[in-house]
Amino acid sequence: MTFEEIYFEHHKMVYNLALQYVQNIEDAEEITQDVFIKVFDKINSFNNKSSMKTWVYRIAINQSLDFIKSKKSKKRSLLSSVFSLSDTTTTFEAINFNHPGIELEQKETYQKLFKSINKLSNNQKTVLILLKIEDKSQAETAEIMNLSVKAIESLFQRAKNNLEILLNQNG
Amino acid sequence: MANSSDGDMKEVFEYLANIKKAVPSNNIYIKTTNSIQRQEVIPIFWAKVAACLLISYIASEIYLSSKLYNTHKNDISVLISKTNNNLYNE
Repeated sequence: MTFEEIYFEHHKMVYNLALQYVQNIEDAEEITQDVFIKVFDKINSFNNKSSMKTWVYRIAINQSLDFIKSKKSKKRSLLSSVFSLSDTTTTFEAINFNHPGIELEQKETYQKLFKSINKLSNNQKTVLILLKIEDKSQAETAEIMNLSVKAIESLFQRAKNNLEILLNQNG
Repeated sequence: MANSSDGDMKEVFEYLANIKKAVPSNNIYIKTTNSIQRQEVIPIFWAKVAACLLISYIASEIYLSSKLYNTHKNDISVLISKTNNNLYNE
């Protein structure tokens, strides 16, 4: 399989997954680009223990989470340099909420929803995205996240409970 | 109570399921292949090695020139102190 074939088979999936994490076109494009550079670099180390799709999914999830982490730390260092704060806790919020899969009339509702989703832990957020947005089965999600189906079930339950609390807090 | 909360979350999940799939721009492929080509011309590893060598060369140059400057300064001070202690009238 050539790089071009791998790219065109998976690029929509990677781009849409990145969009669910960052809710912004520019950031999702940057993540997609970085994911396929990684795929190109690591293609020789890919073993057939998992499918190519699962492997690309894992890279895309890790890249999205790393991207958010680096954005958060940049934001934190900027805040602490401006306000001399040493203990600032920041959550990721898409500065320009620009999700092409969401209609303009519903933008505000989704923005509120993602504001709460972004406050969940990385694993809870990932399980919610894979099960409820990407429409993956529990077994597929378990394979991608390298966890058991039982672990996915309990992770989803916790994500659901925490999301409900966060949505109530945010009104 | 539990039922109404389950109903609320069901609505939330329906919202999430209704997010449409977006089509990525063709530019991403071009940008990706360009980045890969640049990477192939100068592999990152060798770029890092070159940067390290350059930094260590500059650092050693600065160190050596400062050392040389200090030795010169000492030489001059020795000369000055010698001449100052001489009694010319004797």
